[in-house]
Amino acid sequence: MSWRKSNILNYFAGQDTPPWRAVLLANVPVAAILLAMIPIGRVLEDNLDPYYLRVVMLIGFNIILAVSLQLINGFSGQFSLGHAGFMAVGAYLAGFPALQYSKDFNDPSTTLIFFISLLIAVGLGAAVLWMFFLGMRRTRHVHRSLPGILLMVLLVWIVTDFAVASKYQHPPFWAFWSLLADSLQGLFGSMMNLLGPMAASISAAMPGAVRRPLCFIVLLYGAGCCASAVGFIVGLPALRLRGDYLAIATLGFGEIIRIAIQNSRPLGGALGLTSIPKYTDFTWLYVVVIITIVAIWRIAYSSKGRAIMAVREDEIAASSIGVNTTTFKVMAFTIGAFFAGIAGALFSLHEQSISPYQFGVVKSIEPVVMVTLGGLGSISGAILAAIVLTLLPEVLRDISPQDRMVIYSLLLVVMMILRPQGLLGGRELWPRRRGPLRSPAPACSERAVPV
Amino acid sequence: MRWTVVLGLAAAMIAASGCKKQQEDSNVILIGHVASITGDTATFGTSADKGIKLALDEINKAGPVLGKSVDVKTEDDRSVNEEARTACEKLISRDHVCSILGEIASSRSIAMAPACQDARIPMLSPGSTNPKVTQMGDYIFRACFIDQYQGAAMAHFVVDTLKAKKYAVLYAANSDYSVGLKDFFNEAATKLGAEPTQQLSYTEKSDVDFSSQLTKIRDTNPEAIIVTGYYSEAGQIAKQARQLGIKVPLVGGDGWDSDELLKIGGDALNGCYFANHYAPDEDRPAVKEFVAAFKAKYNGEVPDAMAILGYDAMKLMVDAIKRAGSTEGPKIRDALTATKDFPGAAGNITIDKDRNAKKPIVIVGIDNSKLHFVASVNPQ
Amino acid sequence: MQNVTQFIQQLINGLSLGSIYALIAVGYTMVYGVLQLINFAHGDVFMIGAMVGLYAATGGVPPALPWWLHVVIIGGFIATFAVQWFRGRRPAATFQRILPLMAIYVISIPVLFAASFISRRLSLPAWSATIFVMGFTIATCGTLGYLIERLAYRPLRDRPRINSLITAIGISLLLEYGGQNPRVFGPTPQAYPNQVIPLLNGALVNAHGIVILKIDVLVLALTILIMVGLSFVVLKTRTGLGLRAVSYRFDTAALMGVNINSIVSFTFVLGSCLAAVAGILWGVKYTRVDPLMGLMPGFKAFIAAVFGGIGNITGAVLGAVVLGLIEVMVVGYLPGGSQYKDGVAFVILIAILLVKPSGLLGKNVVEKV
Repeated sequence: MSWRKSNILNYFAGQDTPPWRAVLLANVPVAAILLAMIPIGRVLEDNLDPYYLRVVMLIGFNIILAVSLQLINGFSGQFSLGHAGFMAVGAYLAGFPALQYSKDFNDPSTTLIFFISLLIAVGLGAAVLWMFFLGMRRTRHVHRSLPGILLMVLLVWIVTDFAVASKYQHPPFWAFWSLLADSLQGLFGSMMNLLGPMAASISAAMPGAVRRPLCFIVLLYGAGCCASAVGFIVGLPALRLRGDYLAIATLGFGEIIRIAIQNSRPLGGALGLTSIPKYTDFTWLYVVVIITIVAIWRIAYSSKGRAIMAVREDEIAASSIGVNTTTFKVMAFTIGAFFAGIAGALFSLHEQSISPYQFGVVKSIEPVVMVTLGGLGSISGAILAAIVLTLLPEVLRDISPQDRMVIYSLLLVVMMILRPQGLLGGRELWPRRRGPLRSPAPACSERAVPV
Repeated sequence: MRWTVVLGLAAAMIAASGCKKQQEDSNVILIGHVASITGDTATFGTSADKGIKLALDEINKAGPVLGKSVDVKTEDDRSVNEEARTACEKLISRDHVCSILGEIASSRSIAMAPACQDARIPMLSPGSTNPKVTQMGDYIFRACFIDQYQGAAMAHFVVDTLKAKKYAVLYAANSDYSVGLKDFFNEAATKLGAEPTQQLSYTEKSDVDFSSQLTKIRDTNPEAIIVTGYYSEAGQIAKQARQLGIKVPLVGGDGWDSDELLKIGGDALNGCYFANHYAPDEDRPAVKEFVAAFKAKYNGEVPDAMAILGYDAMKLMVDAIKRAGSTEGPKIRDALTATKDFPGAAGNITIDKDRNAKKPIVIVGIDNSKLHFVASVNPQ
Repeated sequence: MQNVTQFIQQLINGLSLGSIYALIAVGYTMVYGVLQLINFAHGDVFMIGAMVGLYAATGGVPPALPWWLHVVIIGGFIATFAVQWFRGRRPAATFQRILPLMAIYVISIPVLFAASFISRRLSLPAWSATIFVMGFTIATCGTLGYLIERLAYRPLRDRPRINSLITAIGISLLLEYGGQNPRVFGPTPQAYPNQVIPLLNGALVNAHGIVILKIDVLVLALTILIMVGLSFVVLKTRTGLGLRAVSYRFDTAALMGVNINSIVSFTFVLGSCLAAVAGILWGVKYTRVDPLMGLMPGFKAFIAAVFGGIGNITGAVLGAVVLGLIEVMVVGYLPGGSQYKDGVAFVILIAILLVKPSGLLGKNVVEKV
C-alpha cells in the first residue's frame, strides 16, 4: 500500500487524503484519456489520409518500444541492444495463435488454452534443463569445472559423430535434445486437443461484442507474458555483465532469438507468417501506448523505481544499503520486455505479415537511438525522440533515398558529440513532485516536548 | 529551455512536412514504384528501377497514353518490410498513383499487398516468385513466373537434358526463395525419377566458406549439384567446388542472374546452367533491342533479369491502362486479368487465373566465362 | 578414412578463417585495452580495407576527393578556428592542435592523385602491384582509423562510456550506408580480381582429399608474423610500454608522462592497418566483397577478443583461431549448422562472460570499492 501511496499522492493529494480519493484522483484522468481515444480513433480513421494514419501508427509502436527500453537502458542503466528480440517474440506469439486458432478473433478461450499449454510445456522443458545443469552445479567451483565439462562434451560429440556419421542424420548427442523437443511438442499438442473443444464451446457461449476484444486482449497479454519470460531469461546472465559486454551479449541474445525463429518451420521459416488477421487500429494502439507510458512512469517514479535508479548509480553502494540488485535489474528487463512484446503483438496484428529479418540488429538499434536522443532516464524524452525519429525518415523521404540513412547516422554521431545528454538531458518535460505534499507538520510541533 | 527545444522541433517538423507540395497534375498518368534502392537487396531495386525508367522513356517517346504523358514515382523501402508498406501507402494516398509496380522481394510484396488491395489499386510485381504473393487479393498480379514453375523447368532440364539421375542440393536455409525453389525442384525431379543424394544448407549473405558442405556432397558422387541461392554465393560455391575436385555441372535458378556471377565464379562456372527470365544473347529481336537500349542509356551496363522484368512490367502496366481506357483501379485490374500474349521483351506474357504470368523460362549456360542461351521452356 | 580427411580439411579451413579473424580481433583488443571502448566501427574499417584494396587493384581510385568534401573540410577548419577564437584561444594554439588533421588533408591531395595514376597503370600480377595495393590500403585505413578516433571518440573521452558506444554504432552505420551509396561503393557485391597477390592461385597440397590452398598458408604465416611483431612492439619498445601503461591505468599513465593522445592514436592506427590487411586477405580468399561484409566478422572478432582475454594480444589471436575452428566445426558437423554458426558465436560470448569474464588468457580483476 505504501508503494501506491507514494505514487498517487503526487499531485492533488496530501498526507491526509483518504486512499479511495487518492486512487480516484490518480486514475480517473488516465481513464478519461483512454476513453477519449475511442472517438479520436474513429474520427482519425475516417478522415485522415491512410499515409498519415500509418505514420501515426508507426509513431505509436515506436513510443511503446522507446519507453519500455528507457526502463532498461535509462533507469536501470543496463545497455540493452536486444530489444528487437523481445518484440519478435511478442509478434510471433501473437501472430501464430491468431493465425491458427482464431482466424476471426472468435475464440478467446482457445487462445488462452494455447498460452497455458505453452507455459506448461516450456516450463517443463525449462525444469528438465535446470535439473540437467543442477547436476553440474553440485561441484563447488562451477567456473573452474565448466570449461572442462564443455570441452569434454565437445570431444564426445565429435568422436561419436565420427563413429556414426554415415548412418545417422543426427549425431547421437543430439538425440537427447530432439527427444526432449519432441516430447514437449507432443505434450503441448495433446493438451490443446484435450482442452480445445471445451474452450471453443465456452467461447461460443460468449456474446459477440465481448468475444473479439477479449480475444485480442488475451493475445496481447499472452504475447507480452511470453516476451517477459524471455526477458527474464536474458536478464539473469545480464547480472554478471557490465557496460559494453552487456551490449554485445544482449545483441547476441536478440540475434539468437531471431535465428531460432527463422529456423522453425511452424513459425514460417525465413518467409515468416503471412495473412495474419488485422485487429490493431488507432484506438487499441494508443490505449496501449497510454497504458505503457503511465505504467512505466509509475514504476520509474516510485520507490521501486528509485531502487532501480540507485542500482544504476552505484551498484555496490545500493547493495550495501539493502537494495536487492538482482531483483531490480531482472525486474527492469522483465517489464521492459513485456511492453516490447506487446508492441510486437500489436505490430504483427497490424502489419499482417512478419518476417524474421524485420527484427534484426537495425530494429534493435532504432529504439536505442530514440532513448539516447531523448536523454537517458527521461520518459518524455523517449516519447519525443520516438516521434522525431519516426517523422524524420518520412520528412527526408523526398531527399535522395541513398542519403537518408547516411543523414540518420550522421545525426546520431553529431548529436552524441555535441549534446550527449540528449534533448531533455535526463529530466522530464513536465515537473514531477518528488514525494507527497506535506502540510506544515502539525504533528511535529505537537510533539515538541516542552522542557 | 526544454520547452523551447520541444517547440522548436515541432515547428521544424511541421514546416518540413508542409514543404513538399504534392502537385496533382491531371495531365500525367502517375505510376508508383516501390523498390529497395538502399539496404541489403539494393541491387534488385536499382536494377528494376533502371528497367522501368528505360521503359518510361520509350513509352513517352511513342506518344501520349489516353491523351496524357506517363510518369513513374519511385519510393525507397530500404529493404525493410514495413517501409515497403509505408512507401506504398504514401504513393497511393499522397501521390495519387493509379497503380503500383513492386516489389522484387516476395516478403515485401506480401507486406504491401494489403495496402493496395484495400485501396483497390492494382499492384504488379515484376519479380516476386513466391506463390503466396498473388494469393493476397485480386488486385495483386505478377509479371514473372512462380517458383513452382521454375523448379519444374529446372527439373526437366536436369533430368531430360543433362540426364542426371542422382543430384545433390545446396540451398540457403535463411532465404524463403531458396528453400521454396528447392522444394519445388525436388517435387518435380522425383516425379521424373531422379533422386537427391544430399540436401545441405548454408546461410545466405553470411557464409563464405562452403567447403564442408561441398566435401560431403563430393563424397556422395552426384551427377549434378543444384544450387538454388543467389549469385554471390553461387559463384563462390562453384569456385570452391572446382577447388575440391568436383567436376559435375551446377544448376541454379534465377537468383544466379547478375554480372557479378561471372566475376566471382570465373572459370569455375564453365559448364554450369541456370534458369532465368532471359539471356542477354538470345536471338530474338526484342531482347537485342532491349539490351542495346539499356546499354545506351546506362553507360554500357549489361541489364540483368530484374531490369528486364521491370521493363516488361512497366510496359505491361501501361498496355493494361490503354486497354482499360481509364486510370481507375478496378478497370486496370480487369484489363490486367485479361492480358493475353502481351509481347514482353523477355517473352509473351499471359496472366492466368491466379494472376501469375505464364511466360517462357530460359535456360542459360555458361561457357568460356560467357553466358549463352541454351534452351527456352514454354509454359505447358 | 573419409571422416579423418574431412576433419583435417575442416581444421585447415578453421585455422584459415580464424587467422583472418585474428587480424581484426587484435585491433579490437588493443583499442579496448587502451580506451575501454568497443569500437563497433572496426568491422567496417575492415570492410573499407577490402573495398579500397579492390579499387586500388582495378584502377578505381579517384584522382581527387569530391569538391563538396573539400568544401566541408576547409569549412570545418575555418569553423574550428572561429569557435576556438570565440572561446578565447589564439589561432596559433588552435593551429597546433589541429595540425595533424590539416597535414593529413594537405598530404592526401597529391597522394590520392598519384595513387589514382598508379592504380590505373597496374598490371596484375606483379609484386610491385601487390606492394602498391597493400601500401595504399594500409595507409588509407590507418588514416581512417586516426580520423575516427580524433573526430568522434576523443571529444567523448570524459563522458560516460555509453555515449562512445552509441557514437561507435553511429560511425559503423555511417560507413555501411555511406558505402552502399552508388557514388561510393554501391550496394552490389563485387569480385576481387584474381591476381592481386601473385603466385597465390591454386593449392599447395592437394592429396588424399585434403586441399590446402596457398592463400591459407599465406594468411596463417602472415598472422603469426604479425603476432610476433606486435608482441615485440608491445613488450620491447617505448611506445609499447606506454601502451601497456595506458591500458593499465589511464590517468596515472598521464601523470607519469605518457602522451595519452599519441598512444591512443597509435593504437587506432595500428588496429586499422591490421584490419586493412585482413580485408585484403579476405577479398583474395573469398572473392566477394560488399559494403555490409564487415558486420558479422567484426562481431566475431570482438567475441574472439573477449574469448581470449580482452586487452591481451596473444589471447585475441588464440581466441580468434579457436572461434574460427568452432565455427567451421559447427557448420561441418551440425545438421543445418550454418544457420547456427552466428548464434554459436554469441553463445560462446555469453558463456565466457558468465564463466570466466577475463577470457582464456586474462587475469581476473577484482573490483575494489
